[in-house]
Amino acid sequence: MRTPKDYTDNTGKPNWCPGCGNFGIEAGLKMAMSKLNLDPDNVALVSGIGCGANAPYWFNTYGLVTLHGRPLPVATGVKLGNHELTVIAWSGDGDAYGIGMGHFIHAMRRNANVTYLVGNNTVYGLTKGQASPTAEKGQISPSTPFGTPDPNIDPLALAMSSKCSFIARGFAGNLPHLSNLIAEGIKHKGFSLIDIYQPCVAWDKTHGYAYYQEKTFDLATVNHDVTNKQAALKMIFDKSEKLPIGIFYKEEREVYEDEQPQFKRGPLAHRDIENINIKAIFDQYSF
Amino acid sequence: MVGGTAGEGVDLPGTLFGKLCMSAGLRLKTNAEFHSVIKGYNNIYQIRASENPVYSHMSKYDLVLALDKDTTDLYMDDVVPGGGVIYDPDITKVEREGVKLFPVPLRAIAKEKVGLELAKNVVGIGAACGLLDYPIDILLDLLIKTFARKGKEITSKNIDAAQAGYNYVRENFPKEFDYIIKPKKNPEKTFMANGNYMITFGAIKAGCKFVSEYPMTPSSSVLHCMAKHAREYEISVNHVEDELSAINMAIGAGFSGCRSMAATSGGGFSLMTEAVGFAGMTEIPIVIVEVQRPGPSTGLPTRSGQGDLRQVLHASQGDFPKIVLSPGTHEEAFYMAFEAFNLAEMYQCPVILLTEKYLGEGDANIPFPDTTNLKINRGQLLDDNQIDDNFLRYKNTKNGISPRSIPGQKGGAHTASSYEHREDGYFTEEIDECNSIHERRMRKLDTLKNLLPPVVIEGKENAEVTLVCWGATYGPAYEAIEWLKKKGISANLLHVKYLSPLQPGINEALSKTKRPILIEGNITAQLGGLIAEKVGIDIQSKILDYSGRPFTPDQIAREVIKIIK
Ligand SMILES: Cc1ncc(C[n+]2csc(CCOP(=O)(O)OP(=O)(O)O)c2C)c(N)n1
Ligand SMILES: [Mg+2]
Repeated sequence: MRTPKDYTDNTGKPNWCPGCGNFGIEAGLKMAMSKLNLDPDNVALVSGIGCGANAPYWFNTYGLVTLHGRPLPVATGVKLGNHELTVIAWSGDGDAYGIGMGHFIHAMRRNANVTYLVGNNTVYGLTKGQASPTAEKGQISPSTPFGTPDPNIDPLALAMSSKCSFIARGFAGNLPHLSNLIAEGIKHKGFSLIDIYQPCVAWDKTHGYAYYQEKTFDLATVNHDVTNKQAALKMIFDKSEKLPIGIFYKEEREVYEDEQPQFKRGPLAHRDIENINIKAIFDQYSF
Repeated sequence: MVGGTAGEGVDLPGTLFGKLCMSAGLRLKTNAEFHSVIKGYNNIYQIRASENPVYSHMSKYDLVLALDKDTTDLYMDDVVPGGGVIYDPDITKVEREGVKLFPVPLRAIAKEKVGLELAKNVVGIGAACGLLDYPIDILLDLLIKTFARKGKEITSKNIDAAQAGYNYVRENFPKEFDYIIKPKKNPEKTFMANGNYMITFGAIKAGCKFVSEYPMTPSSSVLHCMAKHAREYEISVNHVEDELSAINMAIGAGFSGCRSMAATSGGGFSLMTEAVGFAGMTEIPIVIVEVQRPGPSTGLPTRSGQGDLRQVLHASQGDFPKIVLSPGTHEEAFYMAFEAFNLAEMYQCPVILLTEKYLGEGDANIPFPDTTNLKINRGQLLDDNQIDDNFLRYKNTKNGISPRSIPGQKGGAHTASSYEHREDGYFTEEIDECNSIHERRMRKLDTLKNLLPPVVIEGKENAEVTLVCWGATYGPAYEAIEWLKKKGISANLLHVKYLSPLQPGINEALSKTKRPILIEGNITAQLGGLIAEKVGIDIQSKILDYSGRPFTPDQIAREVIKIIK
């Protein structure tokens, strides 16, 4: 069996601020990988641009640090190119729900077998703390000195309406819970969204560890039925008292690549491409 | 030429006529001029056929099938003396000296015979078949094939319509037209497709296994053709949410080890721009097809142009190697598409196949390309057993090309990053490391420059003028040589096929010419600028057409004469 250390690349050390929530996500992901005993050479970790998105450097899996907002299409391409790989995408909330919003929605309805981790820290960490799309109306930031004029996006509600087949939320400060959640997400056949409450010690002083520790509770403790859409929606929208974490909704539905006969004979990347018979096509257009 | 109103079926008689010519063993080339609307407006479908290979369409017509009034109002002056016009006397009048008029009540016949006015186009093509003294059976056979999937009733209605049109002209205008279609003896076997399809076939032959696209005229038929053949050739073809997704997905598939491609037009390419640099930086092979239409912005969506050369050459911030090639003919579209995938893997960089609507959407029939010399070259892609403990994905090598591993391979794990990085892929801002890898990437193209075939001058040496062009302007320019010859002017041709790196030999070739004249489908002579910059020769004479209509040989000849006289 592998341990979380077996997924670490020792070339360098993460350059996140001390206390950054990304350490929790990194640890949670490595724990999940070891729990599933994944072979690092068969894993592709695909990130965007942001603080969290630097993570692939510190994993010994195959990694791709892409462009701001684009990890999902790239991850989908990797998965479809070789569907035997475990493909994990990692974004910040700006990456996922701002510049990458279009891809987010379409990836969910597409339902390729990709796991998506989104560090939800309410800010653009890397560019010095501007409000992200998950910031609540009124949040003060360098780009919104008088408070953000826009109300926040609710990614889980969007996921529900976008036919996402696995919708979950974790907290970077609750490792046992988070690592389980990520393992469940990886095991899930189809697209899995795991939005992760992630304290940003540098730019968002209101949503720290203590805040989430106090506010969150595990959905598993309240008999939540993860197959019930109405129950899931209720949990997603009801934020009056406490913030639920865990799996909100889960369903088995057709996986994009599994439905297509093209993929049946193994990864497309491994196909023999010498001597493809193109004459057969010319014949079809000879009339 | 077939002219009619959009939405009434101008394409059908056009393609049927093309297939008729093909069945007679003729070679043909087509061009469709249509508006960016689904219904209304006059559209034309031009077909040029000959016993010999055809390189260009023409702006003069031997026979016009006018399905609407606009066609006769607009195009009668373009019918050659002795040519003919089939038109519906119930909707339009035609007066023109020296042209044979064939009034055929297309609508009335369609209504009477099949109860459907819409069938007038098939009545018309039956009439054309009769006038040209070509066996109707062949047309009926084509109709059966065309409508097979729509059921017996529709097929038999179309057959009745064609037969009625045929009978009408046989009775009313027996042997009145001087043109006939004479089947060629022992014709070479050909197949017919547009340039986008040819590119798709080249890509399939090259082992492209992943395609992601967002539809954009005039590139969409690449997506359609790929999708149609996706299961047969086991290719993942994906109509995705936008061009950002298309290119990034294709890059992801490229990283996984698939040969992958995205096709678009200028606007979609603008959206892809950032990712072109991403592929350049991470050295992930990827092929992008850009089928030009005139810009700027939405421009003229259904027309042709060559205004995007500069945009693809300079796509994305910073310097990185990028290969740009542009085919002149349907054959070349097939071969260059194949080559593009080899180049992408050999040089681990984005390769852009730049073409235009004229080639992309224009049909031609060509003999089956010889594929015996098409060899897959995957460059420095390592086998599993070639990866050792010291593997460095971005190793500093002499020729600049670093051996590549793909996910799943033991010991090949690395991070491919859009940030500047070291030989092992880890990010860096150290001056020496940054400089060294930047220089290595740029070095990759040095070897390519030596590999490219130098340009050749086609036609007579020492000609009075040399037509310099790129892309599908090749066809009309090639035929213009004959036109000029008839006017006593000797001309030859220099077609530039590789635009980045710029094809070698241009300096030598131009130094042998007397009077080079640029012929380009844009307003700033973009190739001219490139040659001036890279070769140091600033070609002064230019024929530039940015109307959105492709050049025709007669037009080029006329303009050349204006310049030299
Ligand atoms: C196209 C583009 N626009 C803007 C940027 C600048 N940029 C880099 S990261 C970032 C925001 C990151 O925020 P988030 O995704 O929430 O990640 P975090 O840093 O909070 O982890 C921005 C705007 C960029 N790199 N690319
Ligand atoms: Mg953020």
